[in-house]
Amino acid sequence: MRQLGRIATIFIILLSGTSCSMFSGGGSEGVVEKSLSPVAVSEASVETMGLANAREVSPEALDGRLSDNYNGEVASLLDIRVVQFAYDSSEILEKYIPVIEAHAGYLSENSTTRVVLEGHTDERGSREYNLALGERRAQSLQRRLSLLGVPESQVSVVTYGEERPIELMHDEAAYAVNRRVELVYR
Amino acid sequence: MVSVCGLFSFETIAEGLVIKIEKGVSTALPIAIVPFENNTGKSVIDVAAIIRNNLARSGLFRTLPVNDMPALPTALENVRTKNWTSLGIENLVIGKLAKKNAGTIDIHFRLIDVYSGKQLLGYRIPVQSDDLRFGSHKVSDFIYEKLLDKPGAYTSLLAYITVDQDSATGKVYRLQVSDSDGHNARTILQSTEPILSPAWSPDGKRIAYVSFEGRNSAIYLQDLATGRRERIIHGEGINSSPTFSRDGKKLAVTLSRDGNPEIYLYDLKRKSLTRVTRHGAIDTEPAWAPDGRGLVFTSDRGDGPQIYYFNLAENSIKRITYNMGRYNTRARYSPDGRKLVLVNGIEGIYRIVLLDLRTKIYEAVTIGELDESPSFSPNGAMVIYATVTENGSQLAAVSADGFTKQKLVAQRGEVREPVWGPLIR
Repeated sequence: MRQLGRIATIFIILLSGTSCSMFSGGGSEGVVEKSLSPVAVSEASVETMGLANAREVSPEALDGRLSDNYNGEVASLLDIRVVQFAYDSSEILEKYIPVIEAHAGYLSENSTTRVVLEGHTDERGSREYNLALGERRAQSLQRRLSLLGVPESQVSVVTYGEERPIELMHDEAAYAVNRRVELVYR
Repeated sequence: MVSVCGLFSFETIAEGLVIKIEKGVSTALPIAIVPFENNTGKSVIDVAAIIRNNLARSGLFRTLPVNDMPALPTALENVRTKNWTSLGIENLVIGKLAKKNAGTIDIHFRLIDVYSGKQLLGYRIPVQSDDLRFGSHKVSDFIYEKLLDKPGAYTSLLAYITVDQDSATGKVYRLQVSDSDGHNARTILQSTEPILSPAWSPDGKRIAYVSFEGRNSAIYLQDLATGRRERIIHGEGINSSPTFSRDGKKLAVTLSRDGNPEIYLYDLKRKSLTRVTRHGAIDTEPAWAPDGRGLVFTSDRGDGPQIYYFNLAENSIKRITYNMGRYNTRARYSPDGRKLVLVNGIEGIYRIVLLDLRTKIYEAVTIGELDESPSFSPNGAMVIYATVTENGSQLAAVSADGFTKQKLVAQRGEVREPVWGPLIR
């Protein structure tokens, strides 16, 4: 029973993953959103949906999906669309590697899906240098995705430097949140 | 001279004053600008006050407050020089405003050397009646140039970016142009997407800038008089950081179309690009040396972002900033080419620093925590920059010796990236 519950949950997440032609990331102004996005779905609501639908699906179909690259953890990692960075650095922090692998898996599975990597920095220092730094961060993620087998055609890079902060305070906590690459699915 | 100092108070804000007195700038010229007589029949702006603020802001003049003036003459025959020499005043400015016709006001002004008892300058300046400010700046330029033997920059213009939070549309970015004292702001571009890095053409007629309106950075060139503009550089990656060569024929820009930010030169007539730098590091923020022979730029090819010089004839690069910490960016030359003004970051404090290129001596001219985008006035006397306050980013100016600071008019929203336009002749 415990086993079934877990499988059901995974399935539902996968369904939502496949049925959406696009995820919306944070701050993608001007982008026409085509369908649902699991960005802000809490674990609790995913669980609830999974259990409700589980009663209607056939175990055989579930097994088929499970033979793919996914597992439950990967699916939830896809909900993480923001990768943060250290000051003046474009190095991918260890903790984000499973997240990036999850996105790479998703993109490989969905060859028509495209993602825009938006590079951002905190507000300190010069704007033009930050523009370059934002691009370097996004490229750093792009390279990782490429190494994981994601075709170049599915990934594009744009930098906003310090122009689009999430947090407006002038302190380290805000800076940490603003130093980021956002994965915006199209 | 020292005994005289106590008689003066300054109309610039306090933070610059203490430093100034401590350092004993006895070379600042004591001057009195008497309120102008208004014969226009209408209430008008205080021309003398604008001139007073202009001169005081340079740090090179001490202006006598009106309350301390022994008399308020407006015509030559009423000037009693002893009134002023006894206060240590060396120069006196008097004037009148007269209505010439429906649309024009004449500003009459005279600059008097009270020791010799002679008029040094006297002009009648006809101005549009709704632009007495411009006339006041013109008078300031005359006085500055006569007494300091260097051109005044008061009639030159500033360009900068403002950002407002609009409840309906979200953020609104504006490219604005104002008088050199921050007054008389006019919007020349408005966008819901970021605008950055405005740059003046040397003739003051055009502004290049970067706009994200196409969801990526692109470089535009806009004619000030007509508002007409052209998207001149766009492509994959970054298209940013334009600055004009002194002859106005080229732009130095940063492009990352080859995968990495590099400096390029864009020939405005041929519409062609020449790549300047080739390095895997970030190369950006090019600025032309006044002699046109080279560029400084920011690169993190070494030890954090530092300033480098590219010699265009020799195709050679040398590092400029040494032993100044690990963060030096956004350099701009002084008009005489002897100094750079740049942003220096040490332990999370970002200040404006002046670096003497010959002696390698550098000094911080601001104390702000998050100061950025410094730019010289076209006569080299002032540096304007953006400083982060509780109300967001605001403009501030500091005299090039670092002694006199002033915050410019508080405006709505944030104000960023000020750049000073060329002298208007």
